[in-house]
Order: sequence, then C-alpha cells, then structure tokens
Amino acid sequence: MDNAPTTTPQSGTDLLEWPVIGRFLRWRYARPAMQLPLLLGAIVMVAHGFVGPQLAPRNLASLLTWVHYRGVLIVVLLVAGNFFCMACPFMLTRDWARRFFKPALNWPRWLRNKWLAVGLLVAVLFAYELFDLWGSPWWTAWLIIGYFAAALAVDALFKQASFCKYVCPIGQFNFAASTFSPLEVKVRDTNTCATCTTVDCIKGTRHPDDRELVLQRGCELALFQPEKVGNMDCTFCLDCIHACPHDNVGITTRLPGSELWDDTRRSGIGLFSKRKDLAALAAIFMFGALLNAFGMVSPVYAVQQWIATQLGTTNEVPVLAILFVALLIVEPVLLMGGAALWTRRATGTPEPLMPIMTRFAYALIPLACGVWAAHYGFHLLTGLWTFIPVTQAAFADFGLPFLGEPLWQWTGFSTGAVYPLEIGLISLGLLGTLLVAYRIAERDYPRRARRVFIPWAVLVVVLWASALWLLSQPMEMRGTMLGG
Amino acid sequence: MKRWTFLFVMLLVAGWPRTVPVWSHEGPPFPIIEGASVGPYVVAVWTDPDIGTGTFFVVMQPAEGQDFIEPSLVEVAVQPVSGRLPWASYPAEPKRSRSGVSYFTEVAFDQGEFWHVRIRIEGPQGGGVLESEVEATPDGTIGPIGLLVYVLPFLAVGFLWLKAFLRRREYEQQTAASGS
Repeated sequence: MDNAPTTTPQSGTDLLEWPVIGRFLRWRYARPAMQLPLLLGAIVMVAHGFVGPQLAPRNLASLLTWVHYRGVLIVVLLVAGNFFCMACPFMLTRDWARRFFKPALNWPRWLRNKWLAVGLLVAVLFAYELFDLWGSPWWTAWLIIGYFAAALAVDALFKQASFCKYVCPIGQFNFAASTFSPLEVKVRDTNTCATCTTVDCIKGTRHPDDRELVLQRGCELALFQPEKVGNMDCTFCLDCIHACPHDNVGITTRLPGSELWDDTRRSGIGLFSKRKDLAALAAIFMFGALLNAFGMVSPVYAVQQWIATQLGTTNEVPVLAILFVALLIVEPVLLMGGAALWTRRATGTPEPLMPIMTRFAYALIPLACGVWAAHYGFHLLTGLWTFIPVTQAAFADFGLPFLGEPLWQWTGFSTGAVYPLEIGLISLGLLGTLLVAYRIAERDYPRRARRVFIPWAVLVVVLWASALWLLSQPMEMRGTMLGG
Repeated sequence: MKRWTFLFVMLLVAGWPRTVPVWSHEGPPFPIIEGASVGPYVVAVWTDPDIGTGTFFVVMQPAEGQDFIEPSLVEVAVQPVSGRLPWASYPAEPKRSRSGVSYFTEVAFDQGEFWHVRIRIEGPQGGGVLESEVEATPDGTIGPIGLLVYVLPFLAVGFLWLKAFLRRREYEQQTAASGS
C-alpha cells in the first residue's frame, strides 16, 4: 500500500488580508462580538419557547432553531468554514464561568476520541424524532438550556476545550462538514514556524510575573499549527491567530474536500486512516443525513406502522430504535462492508475489511454535505422570511408591539422552486464524493485504483439515488407549516 | 482563473432564485386568521392559496380553562370576490397536531384573484363563522427554462471544482515524483 504524504500548494486568498472582514477578525474581541448576538438570540428564543404560543411555526424557539439556524449553519459551512463554532454562544458563557471556576481535571484518556460525541449525535437525532422536537417550542427551549448547562458543566470540570472536542454533537457535525469547507485556519509560512521557539499558538502566552495568568490562550483543541492539517477539530476560535507573535496564521482558501484524501499525521488527531471513531463519525454523518431526511417524508409513517404492527406495540421507542439500528448500523455495515469486500477481491490482498472501510468512510462526507444542505436548505428557503412576522408577533407576545402588525405573508420560496436546488446540491455532493473516493483509491492502491474505485462508486451512486428518492417524496415542512 | 470566477459569479447571479414579492405568496402556508374566538374554541386559519389547489388548516384550541370538545363540523367555503362563481364548500378533516387539533382541507381556486373565505365551525357547545379574504397566487413551480437556469450555477461550481481537483492532483503527483 502506497501512503505517500501529500504536499499542499500555497492557497490563494487569506481572509485576514481582506479589508473589513480581515480587520474585524484580527480584533481581539471579534469572537465575543459574534457570540454575544447569538447569546441574546438564544435567551429570546428560550423565553419565547416557554411563554410564547406553542404552535411551532409561530414560536421563535422552534422556528429559528429548526428552520433558520440549521439551514444557515450548513450553508456557511459549505461556502466558508466553521464560523458557527467561532460564534458559539455556549463558549461565551463558559468563558465567563471560567473566570470563577478553574477546571482542575484532564479529560479521561479513555474518552479522548469521538465515540461519546458520535453517540450523543445519534441520541440528538433520536430525540428529535421521538419527541418531535421541531414541533415543540417548549422542548426546544429545554434543549437549548440543556446544551448551555452541559457545556458549562463539562468545561467547569475539565481543562481545555473538552466539551467542543469530545462531547458537543453540533461541534462534531460542524467538524465533519468543515472538512469540505473552502476555508481553513492555517500557517502561512512553515519556515517561520521552523524557527519559532515559543510555540504560543499551542501554549498561549502567560504573564511573565504570574504564570497562572493567561494573557492569550493557545489552541485548546490540541492542534499545533505547524502540524495541523485540515479543519477536523478546528473551531475557528481565532486563539492561534491572536497568539502567534509572528502573525503567521491565516484563514486561507483551499480546495474543498482535499483534506479527505490527505493521510498525513495531523496534530491532535493522528492519521485519519487509523481513526475508527472519526470514520464512524463520517459514516453517521452520511447515513444520519439520509435517516434525518427519511424522518420527514410520508413513507416513514408506513414503515413505522409496519414495525409497530409486527412488534404489537404502540410505543414509539422500540419502533424508532429498530429504525435507527437498521439505518445507522446495519445499512452502513452491509453497504460499506460489501464495498470493502469487493475492494479486497479487486486487489487480491488478505487485508481485513475494517481498515478499508475506515479509509474510504471519509469519501462519504461530500455527499453527506449535499444531503444535509438539500434537506436543511429546503426548510430554510421555504420558510426564509418567516422569522420576520414571527419576531414581530413574539415582541407583541412580550407586550412590545413596536414592530407593527406581523407580515404573515412573508414566508419563503415555493417547494417547486426549491426542489431543483436540492437536486443540484445532492449532485454536487455526489461529484465530490466520487472524486475523493478516486483519490483515496489512487493513494492506497496506485496500481489498481480504477478497480478499487468501482465498488465505492457503486455505493455512493446508490446512496445518491436513495437521497434523490427521499427528497422527491412529499415532505413535512417542519416549523413552517403544521407538519408535526 | 479570474475569467472562470467571473463566469461563476454571473451564473450564480442568474440562477439565484427569485425573491418573493410581499404582495403575492409562493411559499408555505401563512395565517389569515389568528386567535379568533368561536364558541368554545380559539381558532387560527392558515392557508397556502395556490392557483389550482389551495390548502387550508384550521387550528383549534380550547378556550382558556376549558377542555377540547370535538367539533361536529369544520367547513371551509370560498367564492371569488368578483362574485363570478357561487360559494363552494369543503369539509375539513382532522389532522394530527401537537398544538391542539388542526383540520385540513383542499379547495379549488380556478384562477388568480381575491377570494372570500368563510370558515364554519359547529359543535355540541356552540360554534360560529369566521370570514376573511385571500389572493390565489401561482404555486411557484418553475418551467423547463427556469430549471435550466437553476442548473447552471451547479454546473459551474462542479466544473470549477473538477478543474481545481485535476490541477491539485497533477501538482501532488509532480511533488511526489520529484520527492521520490
């Protein structure tokens, strides 16, 4: 197996060099300036979730969470980078709390992987379906509070950014999607790093007289800039940019997805090809996208009814559990295992299946991005302007009707107009996944790349076709209509 | 490369979905009646008034401090404001909802114009009639030319991505060859 490290050509544009955006991002308080509006928004959403109307399309908690936030999140990830982790309001309250509570513990060694976070991501998807979270402002408000509480609790106990790196399900979603982002936090000139003796980008800077006093944090996610590759685990927190005394870290453009076939050792991560937990995250990111879309189309009710009849139960928990096991464990194992078996036969090697599946799992991320973007983009675009009348109504609900009569006819695009965009996004994802899979095949099996590529191409075309079928089904327009 | 970037931006602009004018409606349902008291119910009416088939949701919640009692009739009737057609009535069917009970029905809007809407609710503890007006508008489905316009930005992105991918591949192969 050939596993030559790849070298990245110098990227074209550095966001920090841009006139207004660059100056803003270099500003010491850029991150809090982005976090604060989101924190205020979260407070308003929680308040409205508890005291506002419990009709989901009329409530800011459910509308902004399930229609606007998710949609804008995936769009920003795909056209820019992990800017939502950068602006994460959970970290603002955590930073405030850390002024009073200094965490003393290190995150347990046996949990320093993605398994817990992958499990929590699945748990969130499960709760979303079980409790019809999209249709319940009250539960959505509790979810937001629970998130703040969990971030505070974990990071009050454990050092560094343990919550972001090992726990946060949204963070893992963002990390996975950001591997396909066009922007990356990256060293500008590696020669400068070679002569650097202080390594502030990872250590941070401390007061010369009081070593306990941190003047500027280094990377809390253990990503040492000179050895950092790609966006995995990078929250775009800007700490390394502010810490570097040589102004040698930028936010640069790159070829989206190129890190997915790059198997050089990464700081804070290691080798992609050796990380089964990261490969599982990639697979859950793909099959979870299909499952999440499946949950909002009409055939899911027939399937659920059939399972319930077979089990002789009206309890939704076992029905959903079977569906989740089938679509998030059995289906990936069968499909990816089949492709890996085909690969082994094509190469004539006795290689175990798991390493093959692990290496090729990352190729699924572009298609997964396409499916998430199509799904969440559908909700975002069909309900694009609904935040305006609902905000007007929310302030009226709070006894502040100064925004005037709600403009209820401000809704969004028609489903007919959005459908072609969904097809376009999924098809771009297919193209990306095919190209990444080919590069992985070329990297690992240079002499048999085409033969190895075929089973994975078949797999992703099957997934693409199933995504197309799902999105052509009548969808519940959750949060924008009376869908739940 | 600048030429391709310019082309891409132009295609993106050309393919960007038309924004919806506020005076016409192409998207999902919106409320035309909010919080109206009808007998023992608090009623909201949401509609998606597409030309051809328009949809109505009548959301019913019990009035403050009361239990919800199943209504015996929920009916939506429409008539063009011009009076060119007689009233047409459509019974609404109950639909599962987390927030009270909603009743759903589809009505025929044969052309784009303003229509009177009348919602009749009857139940064992009383009922009443609500009235409003709505404009039937095109459903927003795009034709083949529109579809072509929509496809162009995706083709452009795909083309640029493929081109960059091939350049990158060539670069990496050259680097690997010179290093070995």
